[in-house]
Amino acid sequence: MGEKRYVDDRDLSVCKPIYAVWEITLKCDLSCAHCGSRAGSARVEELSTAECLDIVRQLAAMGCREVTIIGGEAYLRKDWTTIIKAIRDAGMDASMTTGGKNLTEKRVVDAARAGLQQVSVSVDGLEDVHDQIRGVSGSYAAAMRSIALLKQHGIKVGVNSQINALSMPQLPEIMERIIAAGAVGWQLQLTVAMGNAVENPELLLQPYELLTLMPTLAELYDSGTARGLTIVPGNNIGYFGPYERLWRGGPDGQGHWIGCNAGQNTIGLEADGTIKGCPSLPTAEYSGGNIRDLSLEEIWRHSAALRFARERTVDDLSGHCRTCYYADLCRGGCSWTTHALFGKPGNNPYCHYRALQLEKRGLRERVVKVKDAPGLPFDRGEFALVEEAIDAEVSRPMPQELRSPRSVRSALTVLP
Amino acid sequence: MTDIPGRVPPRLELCPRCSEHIYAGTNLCPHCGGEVPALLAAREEAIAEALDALQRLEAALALS
Ligand code: SF4
Ligand SMILES: [Zn+2]
Repeated sequence: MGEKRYVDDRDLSVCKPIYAVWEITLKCDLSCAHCGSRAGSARVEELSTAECLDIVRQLAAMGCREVTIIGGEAYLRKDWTTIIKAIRDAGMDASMTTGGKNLTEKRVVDAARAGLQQVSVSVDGLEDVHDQIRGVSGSYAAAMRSIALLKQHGIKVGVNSQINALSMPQLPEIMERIIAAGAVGWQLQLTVAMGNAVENPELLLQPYELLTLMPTLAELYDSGTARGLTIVPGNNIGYFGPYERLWRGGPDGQGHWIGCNAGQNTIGLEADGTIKGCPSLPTAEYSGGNIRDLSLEEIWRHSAALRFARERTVDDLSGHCRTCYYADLCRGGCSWTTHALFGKPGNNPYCHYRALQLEKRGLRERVVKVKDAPGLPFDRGEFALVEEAIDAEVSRPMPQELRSPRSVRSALTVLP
Repeated sequence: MTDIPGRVPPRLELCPRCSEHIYAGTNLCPHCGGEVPALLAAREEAIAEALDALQRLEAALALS
């Protein structure tokens, strides 16, 4: 997928927003059971076209190299191609993440003409599971149709998938389908306990399930690579252990996970102008300010909410991460995943190395929901972490009826 | 505007015995207990021997 977003040591030596992920609207035509932002309706007072174009100018001036537009559904903003064109005219790469439900051929043609270079389409299972998770029947077929359309019109296309209790058993078959459809990249990410996912806790993998998942991913990685599909781990897949070299080794095999990059070379923007160090972080605790009040540079430079990962040390970690061999480098893995669970980053049970260490001692970890989320975009509930014998007899409830803001609907084609 | 200094993280190496990631300069691998400097020296020696054997083989083939 995008090459310009990847950083080297020179980039890392200076905190500047090289890669921006920008929610340009919260309006959405899907209704996903895992949606962290609880997308559906547009936010109150989303940015105007003029404000968006000014953000593009500010991002370019600060050294940004790639902007990924997301939503909700980015294409539901009337001026989405104007924004794409401005990004390209400012010398940055433009990419998009989409569910593809209403990505018509006209929209694809318009986006290609505006300069959109690559798109990641969300595919979260085979038809039954995808449509159940995405909350709209027909959404799997639409996603697959979108992959074909994008390819046909010369836009580089990849897929992103959520890994959860429903999709995990289907991963090998999903890979077959997306290779057949023409995808060249596959980004994988664990479903995180945020937004709608808090209402569906059975959907979340348990940390000990990484012991089964990671060898499966390693097999898929090898067979995917042999067939031209690059598997890219999301920031919450890892860390270290036997497969790190596979995911992050790079061409010389020397690469590895280097810790959360939020607010260092990554920036997240919400549709009403709220700025965060990473698009996925909880808004209440990680909003660095609003572009309507301060310049992007001022927020980036001075906001404590954006500086948190720059200044984090081992002393800020807790649990097994605090005493981990890799603590100083890793600093607890993905901040989003852990903050969503426990209200602070720095203690990450979703770590393969950690699960393997515990397994050697006959132990495992399990997360249990103890408090609901209030029901706002990017909100969180509360989870407790249980450490128990690896063979403890605890039933693993599987998701039955998924809860989302709207129940499964048939063909949603009329949009405001 | 001055640059905001960033953190360039340390680069890990792979233990010559167990292939797990270790910090550069590690003496005793925390994963397998291997003595890293001795293992590295042994590996260098094995590579040198293999190269030497290869060169001798190539020379012998060139003469025949
Ligand atoms: S246990 Fe924590 S600090 Fe150690 S590698 Fe895993 S996530 Fe990183
Ligand atoms: Zn070792």
